[in-house]
Amino acid sequence: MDVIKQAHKEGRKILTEYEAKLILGSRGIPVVKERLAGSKRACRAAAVEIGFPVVMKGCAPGISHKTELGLVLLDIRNKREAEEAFEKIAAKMPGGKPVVLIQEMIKGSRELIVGLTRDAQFGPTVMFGLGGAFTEVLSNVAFRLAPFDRREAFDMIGQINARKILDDIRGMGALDTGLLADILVSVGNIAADYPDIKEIDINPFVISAGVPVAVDALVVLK
Amino acid sequence: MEEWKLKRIREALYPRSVAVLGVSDAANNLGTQVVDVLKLEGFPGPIYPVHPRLKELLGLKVYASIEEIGQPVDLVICGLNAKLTAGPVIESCARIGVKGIVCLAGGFKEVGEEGARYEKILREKADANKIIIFGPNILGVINNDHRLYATFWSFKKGNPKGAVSIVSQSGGVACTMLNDMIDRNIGVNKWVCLGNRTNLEFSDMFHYLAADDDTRVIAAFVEGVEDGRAFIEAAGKLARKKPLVLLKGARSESMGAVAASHTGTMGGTYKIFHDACRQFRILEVRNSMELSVVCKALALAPRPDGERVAVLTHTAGPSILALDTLIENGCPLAGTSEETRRKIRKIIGEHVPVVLASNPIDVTGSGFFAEYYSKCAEAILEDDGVDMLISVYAIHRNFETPAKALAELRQRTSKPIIVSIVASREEIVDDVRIMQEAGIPVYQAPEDAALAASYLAKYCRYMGGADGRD
Repeated sequence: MDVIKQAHKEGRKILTEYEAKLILGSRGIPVVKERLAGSKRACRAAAVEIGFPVVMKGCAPGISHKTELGLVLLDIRNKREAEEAFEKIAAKMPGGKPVVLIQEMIKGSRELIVGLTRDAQFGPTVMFGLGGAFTEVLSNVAFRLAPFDRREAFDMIGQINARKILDDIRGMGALDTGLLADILVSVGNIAADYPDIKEIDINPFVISAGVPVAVDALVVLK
Repeated sequence: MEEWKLKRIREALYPRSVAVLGVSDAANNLGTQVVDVLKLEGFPGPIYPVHPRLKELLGLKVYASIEEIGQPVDLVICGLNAKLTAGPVIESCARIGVKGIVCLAGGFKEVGEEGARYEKILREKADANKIIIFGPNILGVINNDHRLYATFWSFKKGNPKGAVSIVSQSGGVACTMLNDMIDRNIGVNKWVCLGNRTNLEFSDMFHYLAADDDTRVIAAFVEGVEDGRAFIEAAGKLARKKPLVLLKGARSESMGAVAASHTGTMGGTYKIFHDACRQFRILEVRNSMELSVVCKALALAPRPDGERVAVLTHTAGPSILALDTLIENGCPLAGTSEETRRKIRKIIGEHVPVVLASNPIDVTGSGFFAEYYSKCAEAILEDDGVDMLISVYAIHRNFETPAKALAELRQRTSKPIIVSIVASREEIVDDVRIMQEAGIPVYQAPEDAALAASYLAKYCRYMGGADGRD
């Protein structure tokens, strides 16, 4: 993957959010619709293309804790707000040419987390759990040694105690578990296909209209 | 796995003759205990104690060296220290074609650098000469199928041969497991302590036991291994052939943060191990008592065709505890048909003031009559909605127990029957024997019977039962 080569060339161990989602998207994992923009004008055009409201985030290698740094602005409703947001973010971006990520604003009150790690004892391992507040409260996560098949992925989903949250409750629509199973298999397969990837963290993985969408993602290289 | 190991494990567990090194005339000597235990348990071949000066030990001729024995020696049981074991002992063994050595002594890699050096030498010489090493640093090896007690440990004499084989990293836990199985009337086949795992790994024993006709169930205890992945994969390979009941030690110690960035904070290596057991169809248990309970069921009962469990009782409380345990273990409860209940009503009599529920089926006082009770059990087992029966009964000195009738019923049905008896152990020795010989695992605590049923169900699911995983 070009983005990995690029990161290696620049001596980076962490891919940008945008790069991370390019990899995930290429593996059939639904990612939030997003564009990169380096100017007010491009920013406005991208926001129009995606459709308001949008989310805008500062995007550069090595930036973490974007929210704390004031680099994430939510619910941008029109072109004027988009231009203002660009300026606000650009002012806070550390050095160089400011690059902003414009994203579709995903609505969904249920979140998942999916991760890939290379455990010292067990090698490549996929983690799945309920995200947001549920993760800590319920300690409700499942692991599988990668690679594994679709049937195993279904068993992994079924293992989560609070899986009823994923059903059609309060009119939120049921999660497409078949799609989720495919995603878990796909994340597991990344381990063998990309030996350079040390870990992946998709969080939040927001359920929108029954489909989990990667809103933020972290990819760490070896 | 190298094929020679498989062959050597068999030869070492079924030796035609054994030599014991490290004996002395001191009664508390470790090697002398080995000779004593070998004799006590009736090892079927010659026993050759070896000592440079002694002439006789416990009525056996003592040989000055391994070479002096002059007869083939398949297995050497060695209580000598690391330096001697890695030096003259292994060299003599190689010279006369010994198949395996049970290395009892410690002082190898577990004590530091010097010990590790001896262990490395021992491994290299053993591998070069194709000698299998049990240990070092172990309590020994038992094969009840050959009356081989290659151990200095003392067990209740003549414990029966059965279908469960035990592989344990720890000798102490191996003893706990074996003693508990003896107390619960579970026959053990092979009992192997691995200790330092010099050239005999879990994977080798798993490979061997998968093909061992006398082993139906494998019980394993693991504390920690260098390569968790390799362990799980080897265990999974065995679990596809035979039920593997696994107990993991050092669970809380290893609950370190998983290396998975900020989302993995609640995870841990043990959690991965636990989930991997599910993934690889390994039957993990939480403690050594559960291990015995589960092994007994898998060793004695037939494999069910489905997971639904019905409970028959004539005392309500225990059946409630059984149902609680089934539910807590995710085991589906059977619903009995109206027709089944009509049959039961007819057996116990229309006049008996009882409301028959779908499950549990409480036949109240009529259950004290063995004939009624076993007929009710048969009616439930004939129900297509029932895959297994937990049968709870109490004993009374003035009534015949249904043990014989249930044992006979077991021969007429392909479905597992699991019995829980409300009694003290001494009172039910005959009941236990009669039913277990007929393939009915018997417990006292209803929770144990329910745990047993839930693991039979889980194994059925793992092997692709009713709506199984493959």
